[in-house]
Amino acid sequence: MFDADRKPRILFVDDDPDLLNGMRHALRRDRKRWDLAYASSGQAALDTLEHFHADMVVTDMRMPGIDGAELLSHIAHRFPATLRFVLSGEASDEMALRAIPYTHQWIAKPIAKPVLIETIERSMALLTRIHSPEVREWIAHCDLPAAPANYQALQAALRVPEPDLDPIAACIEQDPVLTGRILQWTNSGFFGRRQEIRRVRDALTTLGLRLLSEMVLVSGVFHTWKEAPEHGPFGRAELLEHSLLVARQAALMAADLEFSETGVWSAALLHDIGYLILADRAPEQLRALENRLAGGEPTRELELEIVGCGHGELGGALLQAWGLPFAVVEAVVHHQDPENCVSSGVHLAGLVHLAGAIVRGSEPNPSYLASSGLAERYPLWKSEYSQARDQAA
Amino acid sequence: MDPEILKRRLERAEAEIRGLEQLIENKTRDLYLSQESLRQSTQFLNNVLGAMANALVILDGRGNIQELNKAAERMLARGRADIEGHPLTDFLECNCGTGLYGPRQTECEAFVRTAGGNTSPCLLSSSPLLGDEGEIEGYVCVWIDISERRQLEMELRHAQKMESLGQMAAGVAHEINTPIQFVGDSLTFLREAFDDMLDIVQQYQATRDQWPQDGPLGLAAARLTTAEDDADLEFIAEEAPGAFERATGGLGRVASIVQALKNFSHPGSEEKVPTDINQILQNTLTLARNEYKYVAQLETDFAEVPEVLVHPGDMGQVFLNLVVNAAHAVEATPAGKTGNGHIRLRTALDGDFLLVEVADDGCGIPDSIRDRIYDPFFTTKEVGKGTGQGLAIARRIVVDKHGGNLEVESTAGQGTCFRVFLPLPSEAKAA
Repeated sequence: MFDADRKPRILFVDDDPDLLNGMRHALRRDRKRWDLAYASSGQAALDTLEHFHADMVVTDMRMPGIDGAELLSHIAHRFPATLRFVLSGEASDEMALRAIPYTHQWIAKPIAKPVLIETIERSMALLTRIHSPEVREWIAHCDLPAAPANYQALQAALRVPEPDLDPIAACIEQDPVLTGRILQWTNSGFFGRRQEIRRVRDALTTLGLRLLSEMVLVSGVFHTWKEAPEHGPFGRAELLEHSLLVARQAALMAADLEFSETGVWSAALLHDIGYLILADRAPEQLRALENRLAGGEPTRELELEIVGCGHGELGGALLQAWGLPFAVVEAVVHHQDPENCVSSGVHLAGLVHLAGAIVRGSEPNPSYLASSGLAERYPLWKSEYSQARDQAA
Repeated sequence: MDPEILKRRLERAEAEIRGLEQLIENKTRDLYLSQESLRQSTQFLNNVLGAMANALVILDGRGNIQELNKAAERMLARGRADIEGHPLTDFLECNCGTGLYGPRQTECEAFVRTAGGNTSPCLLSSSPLLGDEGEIEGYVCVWIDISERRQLEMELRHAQKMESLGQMAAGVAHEINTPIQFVGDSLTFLREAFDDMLDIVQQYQATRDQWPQDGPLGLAAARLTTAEDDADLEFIAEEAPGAFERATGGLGRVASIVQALKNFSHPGSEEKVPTDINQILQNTLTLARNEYKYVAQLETDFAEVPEVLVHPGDMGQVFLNLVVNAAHAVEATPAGKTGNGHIRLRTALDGDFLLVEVADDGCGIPDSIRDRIYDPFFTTKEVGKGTGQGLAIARRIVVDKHGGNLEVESTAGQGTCFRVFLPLPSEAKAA
């Protein structure tokens, strides 16, 4: 079904023939880059997908018959490896809530062609590098569950009459899945975003609490984990605890450096979300990793052999499909090899990498440590961390 | 005379006197008691009249004020001596003419004029006081102040208007965004297709230029050159890119107006949100462009300011009101009539506040009405140009809703400057 060497296939769906023709004309020069198809209704789209195995569907919301939300729900079930995007002029909250469970990204009309192309390319950049169709399916399947305790804590915080934003943000920031989803929604075109949002607190002011609680309800973050083990090297509890420790450590280091970029906490909390995808979609692969592992973090080679891609790429591909800010995605992808980031020096990926090494007690990447200029501070952070840990113990 | 008889008579007379004395005593006590109760009920009545929130006046048959309670004194904002004996109509203007003084109870809306010259709306009722023969001896008039209620009604109406405008704007945005999308896409296509075709034409031309001058090929080449000249191919090649740019730019402008309208009218969340005030001002200027572009040149001087916690839609309304007022003020001057007025928008930090200044060199506000500009329904604009609600609502939004301040400085004939102060969030103050 999938062939990573062929051109990405994209299906555009809109009931307005003018819009569809305009799109077809505007993308004339991109026919060499993509395989494009067009459908003028939800039903026509489903028929087309029977023979045109699209990597991505971009659909209008308001359509007679099968509308955008319904179309995407059908696609999620019948063609689960397809990325599902909305391109809409304006929609009610109610309509957005129906689409949320099945939508990777929401793009607002009108969008200039170069921006549209960049959005699509960027969303698929990592995904198209993953060859295994199975792995691509895990990523496109977008409803990842949150930890039940975190979900319940959030529900309780939202039930308080006239709730305050800070405790709710703190609650969400304990959970990688909740954090990821909220950044996904608020970075979407639905809110006519002006600049990228990397922090949960900023996301909440955009979203508003009423919409937040409704979105959390429909997003599927509370479905149960299939057979993923609660404990063990890849147990959900251990993964969560590790993410939190790294997030705290990275935030401490960022404060120490007076690092001005936002998103350190989010990137660190999300850095192992690839393992959560495996825990939800492919627990047998996770067990295979566990069996082959003598302790510590699995090597990239081992993950390539067993899973087909590294856990950084896996998590990064999901967050990229969700449209999270580039710096956060990059930090997740390159948290093991920060020297391969676009920029050099101190960046999100580097901080997450060093914080991870401190928490795990493993060796940091020596070339990054040297090139970032953090070689002197690193031992200080490390000893502070172990002191604090010993005191807590 | 039998002494016995006399004695009995005397006893009877004495008994009669005692009876009478008793009677007098009883009557006196009754009198005292009823006087006391009269005093109490008078006092009670006076207390009631004094405590009443409603104003009450008693008029004589000619409509002159005889008595009034404290509320009436307060609402007329004059001393008792300046009121008693004067006709009620000196202080109160009602729209039912002389109907106030009729044989039956009447109710109407009226305006109270205070000594300061302010007017406030009230609801007035008047009933005749009838004598024993049924003749009219005077009138009792009661009124309540309804300015608060009026203000609330106005705000409610305004909010409803904004809400339906918001819904309409959202609908319009959806309707317009789709054509913007495909017109833009088609333009992109045409521009790229034009470039590609021009490229091919130039390759044809290069090939043609290598053809021999004579023979059938030479003839064909000459025909092609003529066709090129007829169509003015050189002009097309030169001008078309500009035309595409213009069309794309114009479409971009339409898109930004739709976006501004959407931002402005979208009620958004009901909480205050951290907002970039410069962005809202930019938005306002996009929407108000039509008001000022023919009368004034616009200057903006936006400082880098931190985000403040506001209701963005409300603040948009405030700024829109101020900018439109500035445009109207400029329009009334000779410079404005030729498009040479000035409107200046500035943002700056001012202590614990973010300052937004909207200044113009328009007609200014005369001193005589300076105190009244924030009164609801007060307007100097002609019918259809203003409802007199703008500044009242602006003040309510800035002062009551956001804990800020609204100041005005104006000289008649020279211009006006409105300053909006919005409190900075605490972390921004420290910085």
